[in-house]
Amino acid sequence: MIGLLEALALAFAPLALGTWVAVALFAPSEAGGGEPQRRLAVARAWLLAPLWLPLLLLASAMAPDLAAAFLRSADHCLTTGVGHHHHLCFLHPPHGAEGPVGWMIALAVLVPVTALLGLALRRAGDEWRLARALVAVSRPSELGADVRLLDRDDPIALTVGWWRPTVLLSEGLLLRLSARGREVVLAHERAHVARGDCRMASLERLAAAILPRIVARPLIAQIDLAREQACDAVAAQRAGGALAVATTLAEVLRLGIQAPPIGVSVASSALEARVAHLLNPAPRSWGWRLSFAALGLAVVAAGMGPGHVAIEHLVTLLLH
Amino acid sequence: MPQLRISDLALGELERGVLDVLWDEGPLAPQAVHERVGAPRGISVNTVSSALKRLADKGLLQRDKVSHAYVYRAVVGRAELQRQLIEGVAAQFGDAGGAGLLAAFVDLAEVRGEATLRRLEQMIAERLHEAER
Repeated sequence: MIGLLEALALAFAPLALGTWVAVALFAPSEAGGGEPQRRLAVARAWLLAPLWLPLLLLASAMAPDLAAAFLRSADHCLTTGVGHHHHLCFLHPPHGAEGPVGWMIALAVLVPVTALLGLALRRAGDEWRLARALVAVSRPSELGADVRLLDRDDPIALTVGWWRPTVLLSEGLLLRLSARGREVVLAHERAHVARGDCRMASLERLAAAILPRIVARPLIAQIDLAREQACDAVAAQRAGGALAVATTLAEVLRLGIQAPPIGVSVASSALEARVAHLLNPAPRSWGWRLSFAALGLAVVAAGMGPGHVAIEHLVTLLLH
Repeated sequence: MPQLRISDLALGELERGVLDVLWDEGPLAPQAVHERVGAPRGISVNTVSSALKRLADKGLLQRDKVSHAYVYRAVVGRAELQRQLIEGVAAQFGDAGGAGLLAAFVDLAEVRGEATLRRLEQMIAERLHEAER
C-alpha cells in the first residue's frame, strides 16, 4: 500500500503544480456579470482549483478500481493489465519505488505549500484571538444577544467570529443612523452570520495564501463583492426593499465622510457596484449551475478514462 | 495613545475582567481589583497582581504610587483598545485584500469622499424618480 500512497503523492504534486500554473495564468482579474451566486461560485472555483481539481482527478482515476472492488464488476487491472509497476489500484497496489525519488518530487511541491499554509494559519489564529478580544471588550446591547456595542463615534458595523459570529455596531452609527437604516444594517450583518461568511472568508484567505498575490487579490475582491451583494439582497428582502438598502449604504458613507473612520480595510465592498446591483439586479438563472455540473462531470470522466492511464504514465515517467 | 503590539492585544479572560473594572471604576489598588474580579472567580490576590503586572508590561495600565501603596489605572480606554483590535484583525490578511474574519457593512477604507457619495445619491435619486412616475 506504501507504493500506492507514493504513486498518489507523486501524481498529486505535478497535477497541483499544473493547476496552480493554470490559475496563475488564466484566473480572471475581473468578475463577469450575472447574479452574485454565480460570480461567487466562479471566483471560488478558481481560488480553490489547485486543491479540488487534482483531488477530483485523482479520486476519479481511482474510481475504476474502487468500482471493481465494491460492485464486483470486471477487474479493471485484468482489462488494462497489471504489468506496469505504478498502476493506480487498491486491489493490486503497486510496489514502492526503489529510491526516495518519488517522495522527493512530491515533497518538493508539498513542503512550500505546507509552509505557506502554516504561515497563513498562524495569521488566522492571531486574527481569531484578536476578534475574540474585540468581542470581549465590547458591551452588550438591547438588540439581541448576537449584537454588541463598540464605544466608538465613527460608523462601524461588522460581524466577527468563526463559530458564534457576533455583530458589532458602534454607538456613533446607532446614534446617527435612521431607524430604517439600523434595521437594514442589522439585517445585512445577520445575513453574514446566517451564511457563515466569516468562516468561509477565512478559508478563502488560507487558499489565497498559496497563490501569487497578484492573482489572489482580484479573486478575493470578486468573492467579497458577491458576498456583500448577496447580504444586501437578504437585507432588501427583510428591511424595506432594495432602495432602502441603497439609501442606507449612502447614509453610512456620508457618516464615514463626516467622522473620519479608522483604517479598517475589511472587504472590498465596492459601494458603487453594490448600489448599482441593488437598483438593477441581475436576473436569476440556473444555466451556470448546469455548467458547473457539466464541468465536474467532465473532470470525473477525464479522470476515470484517459486521466487514469495518463496519471499512471506520468508516475512511471517521473520514477524512471 | 500607545500603539500596542498585536501579540499584546489578545487578552485573557482575567485580563479583560481587570480592564473592565478599571475602565468602569477608575484607578484601584491590587487588593480592590481582587475583591471585584478575583474573589468572585476564586482567584488569589497574587494571580490578580500578576494579571495587573502583565497588563502594565503590555502598556495597557500604569502603576502609580499613592502614599505607601500602588494603584493601577488604565492608560488605554475601551474605545481606543477597540480601535486597535479592529485594526489588528484587519491587518492580518490585509495584503490578501482584507480580513477574513471581519465582514463590514461598508468598507471604511473605501470611503473616498464626496464624489463617490454624490454618484451614489444620484443613482438612488434617479431610481426614486422612476418609481414615483
